[in-house]
Amino acid sequence: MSEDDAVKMIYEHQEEQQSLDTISKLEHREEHSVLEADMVKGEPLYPHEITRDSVLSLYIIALFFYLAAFIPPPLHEAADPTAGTAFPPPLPDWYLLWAFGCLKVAWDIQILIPLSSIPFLGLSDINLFLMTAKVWGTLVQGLIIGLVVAVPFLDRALGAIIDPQYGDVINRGHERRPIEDPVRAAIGVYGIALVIMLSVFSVNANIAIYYPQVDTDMLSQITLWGPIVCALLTYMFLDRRRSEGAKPLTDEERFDLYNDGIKDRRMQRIYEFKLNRCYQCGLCDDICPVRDMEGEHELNIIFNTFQNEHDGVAMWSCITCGMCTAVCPQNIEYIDYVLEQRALTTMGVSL
Amino acid sequence: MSRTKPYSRTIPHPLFERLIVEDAMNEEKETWKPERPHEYGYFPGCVDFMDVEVKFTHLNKGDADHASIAAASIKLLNYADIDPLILDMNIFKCSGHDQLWQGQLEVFDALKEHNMRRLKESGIKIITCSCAECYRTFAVDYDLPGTLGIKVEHITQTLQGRGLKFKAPEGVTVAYHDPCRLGRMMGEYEAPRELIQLVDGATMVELENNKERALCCGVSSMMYCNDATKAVRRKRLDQGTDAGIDLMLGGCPKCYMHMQCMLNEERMNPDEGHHHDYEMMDLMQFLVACLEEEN
Repeated sequence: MSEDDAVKMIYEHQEEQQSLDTISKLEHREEHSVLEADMVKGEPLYPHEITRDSVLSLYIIALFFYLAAFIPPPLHEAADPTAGTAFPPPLPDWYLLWAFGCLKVAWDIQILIPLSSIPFLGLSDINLFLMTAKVWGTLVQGLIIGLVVAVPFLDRALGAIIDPQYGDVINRGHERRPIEDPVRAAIGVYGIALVIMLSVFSVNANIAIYYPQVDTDMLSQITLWGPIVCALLTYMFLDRRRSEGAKPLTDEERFDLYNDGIKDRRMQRIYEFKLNRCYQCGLCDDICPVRDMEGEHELNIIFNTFQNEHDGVAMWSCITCGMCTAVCPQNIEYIDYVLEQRALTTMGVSL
Repeated sequence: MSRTKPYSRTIPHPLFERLIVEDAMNEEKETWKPERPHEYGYFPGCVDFMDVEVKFTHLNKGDADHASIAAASIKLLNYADIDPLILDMNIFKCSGHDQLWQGQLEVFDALKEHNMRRLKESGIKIITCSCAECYRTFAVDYDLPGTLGIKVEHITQTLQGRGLKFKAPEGVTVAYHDPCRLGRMMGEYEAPRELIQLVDGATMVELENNKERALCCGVSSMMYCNDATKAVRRKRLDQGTDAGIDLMLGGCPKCYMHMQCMLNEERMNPDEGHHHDYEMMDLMQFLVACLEEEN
């Protein structure tokens, strides 16, 4: 066996190993997804958090008992039963005005079964119970809070009804921006307007002192219709904006927006901002002639560059052919970045 | 292992590179005025500079004749009733495309400043280039339409719709190779194709990758010529063989240079087994060979 044959054998062996390596790398390509994230491990609710919270709350309760026992609240003068009703009447704190308004605006509801409307039987109505304004005005507050608590469950149930198979998936994320979901936004505006109007309604006696022409009937009408009008206007406005279509900002406008938002951070250069739009589809990687010829795998050129891992295409190997930009769904101008990097690197040494 | 002689060489040639840098740094103060006013200016680029003064292709033992691209362009412009002002290297300097993309901003800025001053003095309205790289540099990096109000055209856009008549000597099959600077960067895919379709007797086929997805010649901006970039070029040439063409036409002298260099290298080493049975030509050379002379 001559020396040449030995060299040839070694070379063939190396080549075979390389091809095997390539095949195994390609087979396991999915395993190396950039979306892979480690599961975050936290502390369990029981016994850790429950113990900690119990200790803290018991300590605070003990403090209350101590204060109540040793520093009793002072007693004021005795109430005068002969005194007239205060006018204007005393009001609760401002953040409870809406609840006060609920009590004021509620009216008595008689719930009965109208059996007398059925002919030929001669039955009389059955009065189930009388719901006084006081009772249900109090309940309404619980109803409102309960509705807020129930929203996630209702949402989920609706999703399951709309699409039983993917009911769970459908609610993992709906649109957050008001413009994309005008119905939910209108409901939210209705709630806020209602709370404000109820607060205003609750001080009707105080308003009547200064503005006698604003009477209670008018205020109750505004409380009833005002929020509905607000909600309708919101819906119409948002729906019109939506039908106009989203107008994409130019890169410079986006950059200004972004830059104004984070004054305290290091200012990003505009190409970094552009690379930021990458959503890692990997088309640039598939098309790049350099990557193709140099035989690397599992590189996402634009994404890796944005991550400051310059293992996409080395700066001086890039032939600036622009194929990555041609296929890029986001029109990220990668070669502009290469141009800028080269200029920065050779700054002052090119002469 | 398979190769005994190393073929990888450094391009650009250091001498040529040095000449351009020296040229850029020699500041010229005196003013210049053309003999008579012109509407069109033709910028041949470094093509004639490279081939006449440095004989770049002779170093390569190749037969790529770059000076003929400039001559062909001028002849075609004259046949289209355009009298262009030749913005040659005696008055102008290199457009600086390669220096820009190699990151030599100082050199580029010096070249740009000189060329902008000369363009202002020349008084032309439209500048046309036979080189896709110069076209991109003037239009984007110089921003001539925005700064001096000079319209920038590639020569295919200028010649388009001028009533030129061409006839191919025999039935040839040609394919157009999109240069990256003209196609993907400037978005001009149709003008060269329309010109080729004017040629009687020539059949145009599309290569496997065309337009936006056209493969690159591999050495844009003269960075270097190594095995990886040669593999890119060979892939492109293989696509030509697959399409069964007689001629591959390019819109950029750089594409012509690198493809022709590759073909020559293969011819010099037939035992390596790579062979492509066709020629690379610049579009201007092809058109002037097919030009039907009226008188």
